[in-house]
Amino acid sequence: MVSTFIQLLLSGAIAGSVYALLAIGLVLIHNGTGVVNFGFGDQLMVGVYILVFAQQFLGLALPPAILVAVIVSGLLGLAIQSLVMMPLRNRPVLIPIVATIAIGAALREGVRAFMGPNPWPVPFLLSTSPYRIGGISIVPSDLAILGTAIVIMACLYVFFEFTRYGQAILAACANPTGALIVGIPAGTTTTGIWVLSSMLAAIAGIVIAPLTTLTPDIGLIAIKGFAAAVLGGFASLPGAVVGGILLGIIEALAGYYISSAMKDIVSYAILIGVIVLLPSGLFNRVSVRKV
Amino acid sequence: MWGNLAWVLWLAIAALAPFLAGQYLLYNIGIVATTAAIVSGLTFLSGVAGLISIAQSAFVAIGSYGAVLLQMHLGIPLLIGIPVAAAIAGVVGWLLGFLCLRLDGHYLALVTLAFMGIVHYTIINLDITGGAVGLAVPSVTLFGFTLDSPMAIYVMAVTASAITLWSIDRLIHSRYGRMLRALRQSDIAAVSLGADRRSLRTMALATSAVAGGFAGGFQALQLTYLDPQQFTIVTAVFYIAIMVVGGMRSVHGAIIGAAIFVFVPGFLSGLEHYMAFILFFFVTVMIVVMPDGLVSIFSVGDRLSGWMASRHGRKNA
Repeated sequence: MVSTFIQLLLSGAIAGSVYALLAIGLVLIHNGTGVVNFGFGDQLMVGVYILVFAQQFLGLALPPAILVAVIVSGLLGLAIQSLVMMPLRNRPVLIPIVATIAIGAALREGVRAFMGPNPWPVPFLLSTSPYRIGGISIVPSDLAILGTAIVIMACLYVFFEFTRYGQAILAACANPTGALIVGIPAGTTTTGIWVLSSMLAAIAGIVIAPLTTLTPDIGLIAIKGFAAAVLGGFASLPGAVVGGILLGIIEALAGYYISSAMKDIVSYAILIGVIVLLPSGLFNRVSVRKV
Repeated sequence: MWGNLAWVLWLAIAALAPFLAGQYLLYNIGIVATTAAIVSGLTFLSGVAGLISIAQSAFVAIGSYGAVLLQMHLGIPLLIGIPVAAAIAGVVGWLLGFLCLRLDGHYLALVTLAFMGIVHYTIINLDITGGAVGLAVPSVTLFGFTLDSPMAIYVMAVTASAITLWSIDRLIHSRYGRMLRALRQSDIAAVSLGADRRSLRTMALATSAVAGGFAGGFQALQLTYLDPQQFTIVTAVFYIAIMVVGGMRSVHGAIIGAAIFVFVPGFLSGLEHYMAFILFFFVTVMIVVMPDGLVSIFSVGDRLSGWMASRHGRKNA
């Protein structure tokens, strides 16, 4: 009984660590540009397809294929930012949000057209044969997911806390006008945010794809990122991490104790419930916009 | 001026089509009409009120499933059931707006996205909706006549669409539409002049839901079958794309957008694999180079006449 519960917590936390990566990517773009990126899930999908393409058609081994996928995803983010989002930056926020929806749909339908609607196999990062430790089974490939997520988050922490560029991005997110006044170039930080966030999408996709099926519709998983980000208040990076892990655990528990169909509905319900009841997330106090 | 001309043109096409068009073309013109009417709800919400909904397809589902279920289980005739189901969609839209529109506009996009997902899962998992298999739409009977010929369905669908489109057009130009536009352009100024931001926006979402439910109910008559795969986030995104391509400032944009999405795939039938990709790529390009939609090609004339009028006025003054 207890070991089932611990097992659920563990698998929830593992899925949650990926949701946390998604939420970080979404919160970064939202903080930096005021836009909710509805094409994020489709960028994730493209990242995984690049990995599959690099392996199956270019014959690369897994590590260089991952590198190619992450770099090309970053370039895709650069292209989205400089060709679409940059020209739209002074428009009412509705327009860039609709643009992200359209970009997402174009990516999804493009991949469906060129790679077909059927699932592709994605390699696991480590072996899938479980070890048993005290009644709990631990799967190396799951640990690889958790490990990747922790390493990425640690890198991000170092980047944002200890590098000039990271600090500039945080400053531009916190107060865009103030950052401009002290000489932080807005264009460069926004571009940096888009590249970083797109690379995060690819990494999250590569670690989660083996657990699901890779079809052009895998991008719907971004819903979990939205729910995690909203749980964390859609403003802070630590909030996004906690929100992601919490969502993973709630999902695992609801899927086991209520019904497995609940697992899919839970993130939708959390998304609506949190926005309605706790619009600034679990951790922030309500901020009222003043004239 | 262009608006009235456009109305004359649309009504002429709709009225002449039964005499000139073949059955296939007639069916497609009918689909353009109902799709445009569904999208006109979004036009009102996005183009006028400046809000985004990724749930228009959910309101279409409420309208069409609602009408069919009312007929099957309570024996309410479809022609009464569709407006009733549209009203239910409106109440649901109002509730959704009431719950989340005290917040910033993006939250509506997120909430409607989640709502769309919940509606889709509900349709698939309930027995009453036929689950993943779907439901057949019964035919309309009126005074003992069964109206199931293509012509009868065309007339009903186009009439309902014309009513929807015309009502939305009137609403855009009403006091209510002007207050929403004022809120979109500067909410602080509009609120300080006495506009109630939350209730106006909530009503806008309810209005768009009613349009989606009503036109959706009639579209169900045309399609004759309700498949849960018609009611997903993907179809909701299609409606947004149609709105953007035509132009989100007037119902004429919705009509032009719907015509493009219905007819262009037919012209390029050799490329059907790439069709959705080409359309969405086109939508993305449109947003960047022509954010007011294809309709803005025509408003060049309006701008020109406005400019001439202002010059003329200056000369007189």
